[in-house]
Amino acid sequence: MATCPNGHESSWEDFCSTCGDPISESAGGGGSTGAGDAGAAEASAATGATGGGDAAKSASEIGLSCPHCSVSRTEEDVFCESCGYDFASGTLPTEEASLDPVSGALSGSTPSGSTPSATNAAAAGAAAAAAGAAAGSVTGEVAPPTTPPGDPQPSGKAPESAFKKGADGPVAPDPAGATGEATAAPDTVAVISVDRDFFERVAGGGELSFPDPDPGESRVTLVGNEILIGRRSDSRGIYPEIDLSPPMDDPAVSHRHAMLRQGADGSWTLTDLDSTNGTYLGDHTVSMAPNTEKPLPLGTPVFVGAYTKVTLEAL
Amino acid sequence: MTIFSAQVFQNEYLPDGGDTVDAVVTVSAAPGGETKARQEAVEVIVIDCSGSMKEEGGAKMEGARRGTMAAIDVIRDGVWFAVVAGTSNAWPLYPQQVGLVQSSPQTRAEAKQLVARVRPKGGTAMGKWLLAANELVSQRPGAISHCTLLTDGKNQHEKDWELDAAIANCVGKFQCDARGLGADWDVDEVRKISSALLGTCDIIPSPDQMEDEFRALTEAAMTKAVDRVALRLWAPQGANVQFVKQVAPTIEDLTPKAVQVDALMRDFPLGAWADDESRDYHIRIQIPKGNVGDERLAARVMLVVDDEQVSASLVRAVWTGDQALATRINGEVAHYTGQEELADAIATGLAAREAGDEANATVKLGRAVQLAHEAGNSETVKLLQNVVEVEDPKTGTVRLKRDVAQVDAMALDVRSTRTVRVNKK
Ligand SMILES: [Zn+2]
Ligand SMILES: [Zn+2]
Repeated sequence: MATCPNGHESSWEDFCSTCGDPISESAGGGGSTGAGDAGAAEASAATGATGGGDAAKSASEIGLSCPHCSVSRTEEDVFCESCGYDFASGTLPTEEASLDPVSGALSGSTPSGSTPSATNAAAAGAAAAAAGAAAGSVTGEVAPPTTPPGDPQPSGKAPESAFKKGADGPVAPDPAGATGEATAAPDTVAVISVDRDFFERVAGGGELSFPDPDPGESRVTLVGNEILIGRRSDSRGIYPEIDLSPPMDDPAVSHRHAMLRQGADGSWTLTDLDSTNGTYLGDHTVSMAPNTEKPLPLGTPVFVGAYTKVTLEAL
Repeated sequence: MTIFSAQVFQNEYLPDGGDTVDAVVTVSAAPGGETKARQEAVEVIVIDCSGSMKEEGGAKMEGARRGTMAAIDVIRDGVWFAVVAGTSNAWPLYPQQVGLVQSSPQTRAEAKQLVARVRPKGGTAMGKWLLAANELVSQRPGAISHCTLLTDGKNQHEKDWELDAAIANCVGKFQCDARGLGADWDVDEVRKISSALLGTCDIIPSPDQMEDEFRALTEAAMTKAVDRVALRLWAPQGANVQFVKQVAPTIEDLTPKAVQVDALMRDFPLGAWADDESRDYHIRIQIPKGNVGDERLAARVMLVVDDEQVSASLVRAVWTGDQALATRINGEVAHYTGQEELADAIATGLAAREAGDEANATVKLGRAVQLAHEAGNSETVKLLQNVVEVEDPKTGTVRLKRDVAQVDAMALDVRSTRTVRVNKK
């Protein structure tokens, strides 16, 4: 081992491995050397001291489900992906205006904006997330696994996965014969308009006014076999195919209001998603029972919110 | 195998009392040496399936599907891969059970069939996506692991700390190239991911560019031949390492990524390398002062692969009374100092513009035009011209444009760190 002019023992022969002073006259040389002083590498030990441990990864997929609509959820979910139920506060979304069916008066928060309830929901969500991360395991409200048949849990390594599984994921069901064809060509269009008779019945005399001028008809081609009627919410990741937020703008429509589903035979059904102000099928006198799927023939009008009429037509 | 070499560019002469040493180190990898079996590789593609992907009449989701299929097409036979669908959760898209599958014509076709069925639904929680990717790559420890991540929106469905914790969990486990589709995502948020995971960040302005971009990204990932490369820097007792920055092909400050090896040595992880690439690093070190005539080693720059040293080069300091020698600035160092100032001028100029400080924005972006013009960054000049009207590039005289597309401002932001190399005569 070489010794430098300052008395350091150096693991290199050219410069001192402590102070960098040249060790002998022959030191220096070119600007770069090849390998050959491998002794230096011996000191290497601990790498990988970064990383924050595994604390943030919390257990998931132990069969939790939404207490409101029973769609499976994970512990980390703040809101139900299906109905928007807030797991922390145990409440349904209340951002939309609520119509008193008798007086037509507006209750609840304001039609647009409604930041206070959104902030509350966010705060509650943070609390839920924090609780989820802190508690190692969750007791209580453990429902039986909701994994659909034919999609078994991989045995042996279920609980610690960062993945969510189940039929309600962002993958369309395998088309019947599994013969490759991805999605059927769209064959239906939704015609959206406003209806004054409906407005007079549910909201007339209240605080909401009928759109003036009449916005006329608009058409949405229905792509896919599940079509959500509702109002967009960036904060909750709700983007309805039939979006009645501005410019359509019916403030009495819930973010997740009603679902249209197309069966394998091409026929459509309608389900009210327990919307605040209900869904009217065929005529506007009696609202549908919530969470109940009903056939929806083409041409039959559907009424939602304060004045919106939706009718399906063949494309 | 891959052979690494490093070349140091510096002016080693310091004036009497001088203590700061700048050097540019060019690291190059080339094929050669003993032939070993090719290292195992993992490719995880995470595609955003949040509800906002429905926008533009479904074009975003369709672009993402096509991009993912193009990426799948170029995954080499034998590479372990998976496709993850990201919402406010992570879903195994292919294979349908959580796991990895080896690429073959058949598995690629199966994967593409499932990608065709993906639809937009739910929210955005990128931390969960990353943890899911981490879970997959952990099944092949020792492989060269890469993740391609696509988002079109902000990380709205988890807290910032959740994303940060997820990133911390993934550091050193895999590399991640992150891409934002359209203009509704947050550059800083996505760059935070790619930067920590030693990858790149870029904007894909329009869905019809998805295919080309994803194919190119995956092809690049497939060229990586060696992983766990680090720059190991020794500096003498009493020295202060002011910074270590990658300066080509992009500027990336590695200083905060240092992992201490012993009292005088620290490692800066460089990730995976292809056996035909070259990157430049700018190092600035303050060392104890010497007397005129003294020589001292200012730094020993080593490359290590899996903790084994594969090259070493010296950064030296020689104190001189010759002012002409001591004040000369090395060409490479000058060039990259300018490139760093350029990136900085763009970042502060855009921030000022965002804050409504037009005077400051005009000055900074004007300076950026001038620097980019001088150094021959023609791509950067083009990006700047989307945001400012250039009157005279030589003096940096510009006017802010009134109607700037959000994607253009974002493209300038995200690409401001791309550098050009020195014209080596
Ligand atoms: Zn010494
Ligand atoms: Zn629910």
